[in-house]
Amino acid sequence: MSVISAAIRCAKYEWRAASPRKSRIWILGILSFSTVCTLAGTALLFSFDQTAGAVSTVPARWPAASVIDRPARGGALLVFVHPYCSCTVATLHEIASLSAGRNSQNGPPSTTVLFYRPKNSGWIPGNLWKEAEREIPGARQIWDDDGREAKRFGARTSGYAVLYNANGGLLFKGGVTGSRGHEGDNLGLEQLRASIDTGRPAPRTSLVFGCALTGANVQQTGENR
Amino acid sequence: MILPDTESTSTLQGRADEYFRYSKDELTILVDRMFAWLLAAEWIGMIVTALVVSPRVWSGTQSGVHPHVWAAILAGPAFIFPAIALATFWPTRQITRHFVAVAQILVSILLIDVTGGRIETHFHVFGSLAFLAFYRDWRVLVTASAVTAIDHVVRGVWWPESVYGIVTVSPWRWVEHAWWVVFEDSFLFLSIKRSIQEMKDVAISKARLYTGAHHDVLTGLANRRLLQESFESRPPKQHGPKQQGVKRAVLFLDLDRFKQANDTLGHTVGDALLKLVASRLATAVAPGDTLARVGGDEFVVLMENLNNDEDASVAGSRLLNALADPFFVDGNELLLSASVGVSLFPEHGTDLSALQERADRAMYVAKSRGRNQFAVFSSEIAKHENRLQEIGRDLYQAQKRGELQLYFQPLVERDGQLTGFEALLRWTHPEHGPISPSECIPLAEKSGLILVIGDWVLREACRNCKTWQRAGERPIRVAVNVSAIQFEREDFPDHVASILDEFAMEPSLLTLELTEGVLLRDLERTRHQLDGLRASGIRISLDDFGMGYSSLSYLAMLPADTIKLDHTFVNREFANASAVLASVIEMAHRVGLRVTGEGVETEAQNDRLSGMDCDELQGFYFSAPMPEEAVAGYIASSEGNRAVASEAVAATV
Repeated sequence: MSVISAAIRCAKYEWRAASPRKSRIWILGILSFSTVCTLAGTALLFSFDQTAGAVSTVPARWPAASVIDRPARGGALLVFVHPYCSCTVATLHEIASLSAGRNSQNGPPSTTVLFYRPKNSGWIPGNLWKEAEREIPGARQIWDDDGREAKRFGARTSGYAVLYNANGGLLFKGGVTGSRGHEGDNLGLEQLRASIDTGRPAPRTSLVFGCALTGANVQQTGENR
Repeated sequence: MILPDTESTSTLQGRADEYFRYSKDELTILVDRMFAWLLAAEWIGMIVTALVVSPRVWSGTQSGVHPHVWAAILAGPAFIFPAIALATFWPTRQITRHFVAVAQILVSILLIDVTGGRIETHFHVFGSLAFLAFYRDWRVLVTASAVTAIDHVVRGVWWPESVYGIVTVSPWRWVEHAWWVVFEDSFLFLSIKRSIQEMKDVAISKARLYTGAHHDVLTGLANRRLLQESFESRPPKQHGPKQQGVKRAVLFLDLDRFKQANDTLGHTVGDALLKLVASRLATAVAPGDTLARVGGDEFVVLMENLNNDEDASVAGSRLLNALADPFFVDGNELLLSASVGVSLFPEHGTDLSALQERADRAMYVAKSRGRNQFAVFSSEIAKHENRLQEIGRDLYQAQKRGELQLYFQPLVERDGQLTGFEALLRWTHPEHGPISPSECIPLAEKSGLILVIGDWVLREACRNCKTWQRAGERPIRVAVNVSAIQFEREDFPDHVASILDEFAMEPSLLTLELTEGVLLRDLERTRHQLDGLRASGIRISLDDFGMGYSSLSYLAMLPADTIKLDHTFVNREFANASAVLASVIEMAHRVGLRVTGEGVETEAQNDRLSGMDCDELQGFYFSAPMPEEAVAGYIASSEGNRAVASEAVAATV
């Protein structure tokens, strides 16, 4: 600490000894550097937060090859999650908010959270698993080994959700957060909520924000707002 | 906190402004420092938060450091470190405050982003605004609010639901956001305004206290305390190689005869005069020097950075010149002069009291040289002063030891007839030998011993006079000089009468000689005292007439019997001297006064005064002052001469 304080004292002395013109140049330099760095950093950060993940073609009907049990009555909501993607916490919270006080025509959907697990990875349930257990009452948590179910349902990004009705028809596909890891009002969540309540398909595809489930992520083309 | 007297602090408001600026700077430095630490802590906290909330980003089985963690880390060099650097190395500046405000709000924005936009984190913005209010600068809040607004507008365009919500949910959420910021800002602005006003009030109170404690109430000049602080606040620069030879000086200025003007014209006029003197002196003092009033009519100038001794002399002359023109106060035209004493740092002392004391002593030397001049303290003055101090101490014992003695100088009519003697005090110091009355009388007056000595002189003179009456054929008078301090005694006439009674002496044989300085102190009182003395038969002589400011009107106003022409009038040659002397003598005769010419040293002077009908003469031409023992012989010889003269006259007839 004494070395640091001595260095600060020394720098202060040098600073005060510097001519006003030299000081101005320093200040101008610092401000310019700071402004450029801050603006560039902000742009990069916003770009990261706002870049949606990739999705594949989503089957309009419940895939017959799926091993997931589709409930006989009511809708089925599937949420695909990378078990270590911290951004997906927001998705789980938003899904949890759906179950509270809802009066849908077909009853609340049966929710299944599928956690991607590569073969022989040895991944065990982590924070997100526990979060899903705790936050979403009645939801099932299952491992999606090698992402086979994700491929069947066209999910490539953590936080991707699909809703099928009792007849196996697709009502909703996409993300339920406004950006990476951000909770709060967003169009995806509103559409999902509307589909659950009315049983009608969502008019638009929602963008999904999160980590790539199985590999390199490709930016999704479509609309989310 | 001591602010030096400068041009900006010379007025109350100026000093208050300086106090306010100083307090504000102190506060700003503190807040700058606080923010430097806060930003550093926030940076660390933000990194930890990012690591806890979103440590890594995943792509299948691959992972890397989450961009939020990088953002938190890189916020340091991007804007947190620059803000800390500015707050540390360039505190109190506007640019620093505003940059800190921007950095603080950016930290809030980033923290909200890193934590996933949790509503709880939004409180950080409001906390930041409240912290920034500690700067007591509403412009900083405007900057902080502007950054918040810009962030919301930019997000509102590209990412609206993060700020405004979505249309179906909360179309007016942006109003709610803006309202909270405006609401808080309004409170903070009011708080800042109130706080600034309080700081200004405190500054004005401090300025008032300072001015009252450091300035002279009458003139507004510095007082002793400020003078001392000015002396101490500018330490001597004599030790540096570049400053070698740089000096300071103390000039002690005392107005000549101010007391007379104050006593005769009244204290209101005296105060007004002092104010005018102060303003004149202020114009004669160089910027950076300190002018103080340290007593009734005493001023001190502390001069800084003199190049040489002559600078002090030039400054002394400048001060005297500043007072040369007449002053106009309440319809009176007043001529004033001053005596200035100078002491130099470091030769004559290294502390203010020593320098002031020596300048004071030099000032007295200037006064004794005839006033309206300056004197620089020297070793000779120091020796003289030491001698005076020694003499002053010994004077107490002089009378008891019998060292005091009266000498008598004859007073003769113009025909040579002896009329009396003037009693003159002599003191033979056992070590220093004969001490001049001009040295010992002022010391006796200063110490108050003059009352005792004057009393002794009066008694001795009367005792001798009584003896002379027994020895001579004719009555022989004695003249005694009276000091102002003796004359100011209320019972002085009664006291003199009691001494005359004590020696059973005829009052008309005693002449009291009073100088103009004694008579002019309080004209009414003087006239009252003189009436009392003359009523008992004592004769009054106006001594040293023609010197100083003798006004001819006093000849008619004051009840006197004789005027005594000053010796400089008699034994110095100047243009129209004879005409002036003749006129004064004639005028005195016309108002019924006798005239004594003193300082007659030559036959020519004797003839000239006799030719002008001067009634009485005194001087070395007739006789030097003689001791008591020689007087009887002188009287006898004088009687003999008179007999010889009478015989010569009779033979001629």
